[in-house]
Amino acid sequence: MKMKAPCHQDCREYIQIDVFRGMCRVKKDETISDAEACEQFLPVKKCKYCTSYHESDGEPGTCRGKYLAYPDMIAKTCEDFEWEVAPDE
Amino acid sequence: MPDGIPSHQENPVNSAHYYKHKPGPAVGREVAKEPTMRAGTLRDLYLGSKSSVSMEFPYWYTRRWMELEGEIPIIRRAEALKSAFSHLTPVIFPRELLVMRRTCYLRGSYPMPWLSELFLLDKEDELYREALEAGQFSNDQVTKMGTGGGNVTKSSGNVVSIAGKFGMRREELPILMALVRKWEHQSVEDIGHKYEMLVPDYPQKESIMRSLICLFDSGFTLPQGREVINYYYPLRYGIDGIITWCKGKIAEVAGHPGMDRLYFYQASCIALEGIKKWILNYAQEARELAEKERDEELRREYTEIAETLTWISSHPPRSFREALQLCWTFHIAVLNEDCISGLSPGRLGQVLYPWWKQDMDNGTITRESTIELLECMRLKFTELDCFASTGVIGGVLSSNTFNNLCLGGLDKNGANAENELEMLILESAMTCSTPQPTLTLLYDEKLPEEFLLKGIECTKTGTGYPAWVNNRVAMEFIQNNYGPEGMTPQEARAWAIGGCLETSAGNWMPLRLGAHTYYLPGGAGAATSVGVHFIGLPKLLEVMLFDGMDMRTGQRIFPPRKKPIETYDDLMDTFQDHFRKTVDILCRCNNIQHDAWRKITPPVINSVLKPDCLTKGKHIGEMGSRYNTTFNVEVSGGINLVNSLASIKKNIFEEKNFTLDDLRSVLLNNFGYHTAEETGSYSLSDQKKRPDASTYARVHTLCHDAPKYGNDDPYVDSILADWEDWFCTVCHEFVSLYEKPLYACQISVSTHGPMGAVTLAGPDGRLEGTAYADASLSAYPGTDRNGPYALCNSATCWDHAKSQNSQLNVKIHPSVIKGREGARKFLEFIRAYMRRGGFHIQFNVVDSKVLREAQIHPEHYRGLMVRVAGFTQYWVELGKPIQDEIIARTEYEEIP
Repeated sequence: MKMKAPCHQDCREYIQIDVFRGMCRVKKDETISDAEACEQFLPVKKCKYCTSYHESDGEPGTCRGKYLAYPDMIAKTCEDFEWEVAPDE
Repeated sequence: MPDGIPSHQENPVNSAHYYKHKPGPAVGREVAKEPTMRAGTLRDLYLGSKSSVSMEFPYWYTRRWMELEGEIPIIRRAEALKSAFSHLTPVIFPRELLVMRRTCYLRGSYPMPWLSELFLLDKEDELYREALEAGQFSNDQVTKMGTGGGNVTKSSGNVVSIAGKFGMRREELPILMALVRKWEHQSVEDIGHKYEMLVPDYPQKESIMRSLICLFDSGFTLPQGREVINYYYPLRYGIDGIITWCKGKIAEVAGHPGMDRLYFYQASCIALEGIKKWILNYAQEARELAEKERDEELRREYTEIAETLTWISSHPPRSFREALQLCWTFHIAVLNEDCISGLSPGRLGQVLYPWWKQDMDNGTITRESTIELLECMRLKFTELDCFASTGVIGGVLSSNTFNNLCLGGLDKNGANAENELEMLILESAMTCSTPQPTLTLLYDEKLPEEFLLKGIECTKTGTGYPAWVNNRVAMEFIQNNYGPEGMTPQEARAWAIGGCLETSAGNWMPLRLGAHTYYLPGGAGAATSVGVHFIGLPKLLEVMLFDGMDMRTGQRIFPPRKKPIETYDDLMDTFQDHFRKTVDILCRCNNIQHDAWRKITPPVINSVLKPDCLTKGKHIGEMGSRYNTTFNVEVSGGINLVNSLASIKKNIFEEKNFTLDDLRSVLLNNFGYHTAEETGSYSLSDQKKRPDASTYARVHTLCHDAPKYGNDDPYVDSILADWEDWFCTVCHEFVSLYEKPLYACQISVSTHGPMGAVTLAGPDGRLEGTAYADASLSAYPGTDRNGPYALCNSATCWDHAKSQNSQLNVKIHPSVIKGREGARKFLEFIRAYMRRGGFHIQFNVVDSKVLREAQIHPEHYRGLMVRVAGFTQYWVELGKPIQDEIIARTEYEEIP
């Protein structure tokens, strides 16, 4: 799994308010989306964590080798999502 | 006295009349109420949030669209919509009662590159430069966005600013640009442009757009909206019921002539399945939240949300809350389908009344819990953003989305239609004051005094709503306009305002609930305010005065006259000729754009809702709506035109105080003042003189002293009456895409700012670059000197039923309408205007000193709202030209 320095917006407990900030459901406080995630971090389904996602030389990457895709798209509703590395629940 | 305001000694113009503001400390508004704790918390969350762009919807839409190349267009469109809705990430905030939003962000929106993509391109891109040359971005170049509130005006860190308003995550930029490239040469904008260039005199259209005589194109900017939605079918049959009905129709029409019906019904089923999935994704999210939540109350709320959504994903609602949730879901479903401003919920209190009454009767709801739900509804509507170019979102819309909720009026049988739920809607609009939905009270003599006084109480809060609109005048317009399509007097009663002030056709639909049969009002017409989008009348007059030249850009717009203008009639003939040519070319080009729109991105979801699309088997673009005479000609700056004509007539042709050449010279020299752009002030106040100002002082004074509209002066009022008579008639000469005549539309929205910015000084004394008078019947700031009743007399010198609307903004000092006596006096004033045939009047109840202070210290005024034209907006999100114009408006200190 391409888990490089996860931040709040990569976490499944993060609720996006806007492009700058969100809310943590666990701690019930507001957070900056780009701030480093805490010790309770669990990844939200995103393309970058999916087996079907492949980075390409230039952005964006691809999904299953045939569709354009981008790493930070939330894939919670994608029926084809599969964890590249299943997170420790 | 601020520098630049002429003193009494230097200039005979009495400035005290012009910028008179009550002395002493700033006075607050008399009525101020607080929201419930839940709504207060959610409103704080909103006030701290920024406009944010998500690429989810466009990504999934485009991905599915590209997969289906060669498919029947409406099926391809429906499949793309289904995919996009099915994949939206559900986000529910703690304490929300009503849920679902357009994107994963609180204040989210997204680009629709299938409609318009050129403004998103890099400015060095060849296609961008071509569009620039064609005048498509002229408006963007002169628009000044508001710099505060939720606007993301600058890029910073990992956030990129788009159109000076929207924030986008930098990591989403590559996919945006990739999608934009995919839509090049395929979007409505590009296809429409390709074919509009075949119109024989197309180059003239480009020069008109470059000069900003016309503000923006229609077919690819805001192709739907300024209409009233109709929630009836989902409320009556539920989503499964509509799908079942459509499947029955598919079996009925398949293989028979008129095959487009087959595709429309099939597309309807596909799109509805996407909406079902979207709702169920939210229900699943709510269930998961309930499972994880440790707070018992929150867990119960998430469970209720899940149950509500699961039920309405298939069935008609059983309760007021379910009905409200279902209405909201379809409202944003339509908004997600197209780039729309002004999708109005219409008479929502009358639509939802049956469920509310039932719940009240069986004791499952209280007035207090109703208020709380209605406050939550206000916050949902306030979340709405419309993604568009700078010129459209800032220059026209001032970031507003114009979801207008109407109250009062008459019912199907001609009785007073007001109900108890509408009283609670008014109350919730006071306790939880937010810009959306704005309220309009459909004034009728049959409405009870208690209801009208509730409206007055709400107006006193200073939120700018409700607007007061004349029910009888609107019905007359509706019946005249839609009579040839079968409009009856009974159906005319179902009208409501779509958008900020667009009188829109409706109909009545029967609903049986319990032992009662109700007739629900809802929208029955296609989008209005499509066609010719805002002709700046003072700009057109300026170009005419300079013999067809736009002196700002140095380009020729119209061929030169063959002989000089020698009489006032000569001048009017030339002006009218230019006006006709302008509307003619714009109408034909916009018809082509709209044709591209209906072929490439046919409206599916709105068509499912709008009578009689389902029964006809036709979408809105095929005239499936019951009423289709909805294209219009919008104008801005009418009062500056009328004042200018009065000045020219009197000074040049009657009293011969100066010549046309003299006038041209002073206009080019801005009466010896610096321009608005140079001073950074966009109203007539706070302007600065140049050293040579005295050279032009005489003519300037004569221009100022010419008769001005708003003073009950027959000289200038007769010019207004003649203009209105001609304008409202000439619009019928032009024909829409649907082979129906166009009609007159007279609102300003925010166009008086950017259109003023490109207009030289005017014969009425207005200075270069300053905003026009707002609305269509508001006096030019400071020129109405004889009190509010004189203003009303001037405004009603013509028949308002000939136009889709007229618009009058009045600014009143809070002290004028204080107490019960003040309220009654205020109501009598409104009533007098309505009885004289006035169509619309609305109020800013505010002390101008507060506005000036808010301009200096916006950080202290995040929640301050003002009425602009047909809408209320947060002060800090308005561009400076509009702020300056509102401050400069005459502030009435007395209602006799």
